[in-house]
Amino acid sequence: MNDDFLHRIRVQPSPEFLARLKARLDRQGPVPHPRARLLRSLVAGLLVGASALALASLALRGELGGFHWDGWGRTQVSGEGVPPQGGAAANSPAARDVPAAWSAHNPWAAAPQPSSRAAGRQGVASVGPVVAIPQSAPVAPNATAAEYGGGAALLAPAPSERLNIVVAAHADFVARNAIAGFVKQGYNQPALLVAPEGSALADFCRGNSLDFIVPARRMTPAEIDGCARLGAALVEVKIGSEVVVFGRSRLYGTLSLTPRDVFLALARTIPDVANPGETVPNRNATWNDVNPALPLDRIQVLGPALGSPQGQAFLALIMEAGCDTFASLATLQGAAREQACRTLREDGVYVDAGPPIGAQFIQRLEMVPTAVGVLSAPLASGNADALLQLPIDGVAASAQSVADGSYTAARTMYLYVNRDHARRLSSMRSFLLDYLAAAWGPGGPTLLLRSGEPTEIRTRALIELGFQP
Amino acid sequence: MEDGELDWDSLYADQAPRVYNYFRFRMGSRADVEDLTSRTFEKAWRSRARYRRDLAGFSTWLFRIARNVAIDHLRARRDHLPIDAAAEVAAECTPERDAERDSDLARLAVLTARLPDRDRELIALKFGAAINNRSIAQLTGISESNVGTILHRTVQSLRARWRADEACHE
Repeated sequence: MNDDFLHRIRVQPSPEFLARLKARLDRQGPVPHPRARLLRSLVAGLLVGASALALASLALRGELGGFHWDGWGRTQVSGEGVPPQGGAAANSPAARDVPAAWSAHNPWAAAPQPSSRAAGRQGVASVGPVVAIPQSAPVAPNATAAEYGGGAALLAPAPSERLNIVVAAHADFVARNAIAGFVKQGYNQPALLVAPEGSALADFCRGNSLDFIVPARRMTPAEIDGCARLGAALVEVKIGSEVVVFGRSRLYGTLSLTPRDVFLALARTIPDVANPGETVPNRNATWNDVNPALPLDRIQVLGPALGSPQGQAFLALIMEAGCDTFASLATLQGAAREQACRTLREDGVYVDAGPPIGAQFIQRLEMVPTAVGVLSAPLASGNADALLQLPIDGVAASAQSVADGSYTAARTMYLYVNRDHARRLSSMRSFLLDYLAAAWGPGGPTLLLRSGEPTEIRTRALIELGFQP
Repeated sequence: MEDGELDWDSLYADQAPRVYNYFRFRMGSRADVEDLTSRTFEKAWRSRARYRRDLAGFSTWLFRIARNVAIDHLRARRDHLPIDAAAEVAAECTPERDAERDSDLARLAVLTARLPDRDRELIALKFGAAINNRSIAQLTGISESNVGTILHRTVQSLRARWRADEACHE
């Protein structure tokens, strides 16, 4: 038994009671506008004062209606005042500091700076040119370069100027957001290629048509050298790190997890202990079922939507990492890997709680104290009073542990820019700023731990590319 | 505070179940809960023109009213109850106690009866009203870290006693 017993005791009031009470409240009528009340009070006060003055003067003169008054009279005036502002008022988000809709069942440092690499001398075999994939429907734009003082192109772009961009799958969402903002500024739609898994990065430099590349990992010196030999001298920009952090309410203390534990808790199917090589449906109910060293708390994880950048980071950095600890699953590729490593149970142990930002997410975690939340690094550090960050593999997330690699649930994102093209294509400065804004902005991977202050990163990148910061 | 800026109907829909459950947890029985909930909203509605968003979130403001209603009610009730009518927590399983355990709410009431009033209040705010520790701290004047500590200790104790209670009836 866990502490659900306290939550179970909550019930929904009867609809009849709620309706009766509401009707009684409605009969009280709309509350007068505060200014109306003030005005009424002032008017009443003035009239009372005037009446008192008048009566006083009459009293002093010793006459009122033919009688002599030696007392004070008072008249009460009820003014109409300003009609109250009522009706169907817009729902003010700020005022709705309330939890989500009621439900009777409620389950619930600065890293080292990057350096650009010197050109090398290695040769590479030739392949075909970069192939553009047609764009999908544009997504909502995020902050554009205009916010950073670089909105308008320094020079008007040539009509044929069209950027070629290659991104790894995990950067596709951010790239499309950046492109949407970029195009809205009047630039031509860039050609975007989502690099197939396992692509040789240097191959994209053939023909020297590549302008930007966001790979799945940092390019090696050999790859950078290879591009340079093909004429594409790349400048490296370290955007930051996608960091997956687990946390839960301080009420229940810490829980030391590994990616393997989380995989065994959440994957739809898990390896069959009795039959190596086979998988079985996941029926683990408590963390203790997953790992005898863990407590009997029911498995409940609140996390981001799996299709979001945050969700994709969670699947890559935790679920796949846990999956890879099983020899029978580590070698899977393609659809089989997707099925085995990145498909979660649908029996309610994982709950899509929306983006892991904001007070509402915190409140949901607090309402279900045994629940574990998939958090952003800023949310975890900004709410240390309410939440305990849970270590992964015994290591807590920090700028240092991410930088030195000891915190494994993280991956650093790099963007590479063709320096020579940047000096010729006026639009590249704008796209660079748009991409950084998209990566750091609300539509980007909010699990991101930046590698420095945004201004610093932008300025350094612009200077290296020969742009005015 | 502009009355027109808040959607009072939506606020009522959101807050009414929370206030209702706060009183269920606080009073430990279904009796009086509807009456106390009604009193809270009637007071709130009469004074809602005076609500100032810059001073407190709406739920904090509303639960200040609810707590005052609870305090008044408990004071009036205590004045009329003989001292030996207070519920007692069973130290052991007895047939007399079985009759009281007809619902989880009744069981909770028995288990919390000997808790200090402050701890019962925190349980009611946390689990009945579903308020976070920060807001509980604002309402009660207890520091947020103390709220967490008290709740942690109280829930651990309740959990152990709840389990022991279940073991009696297995």
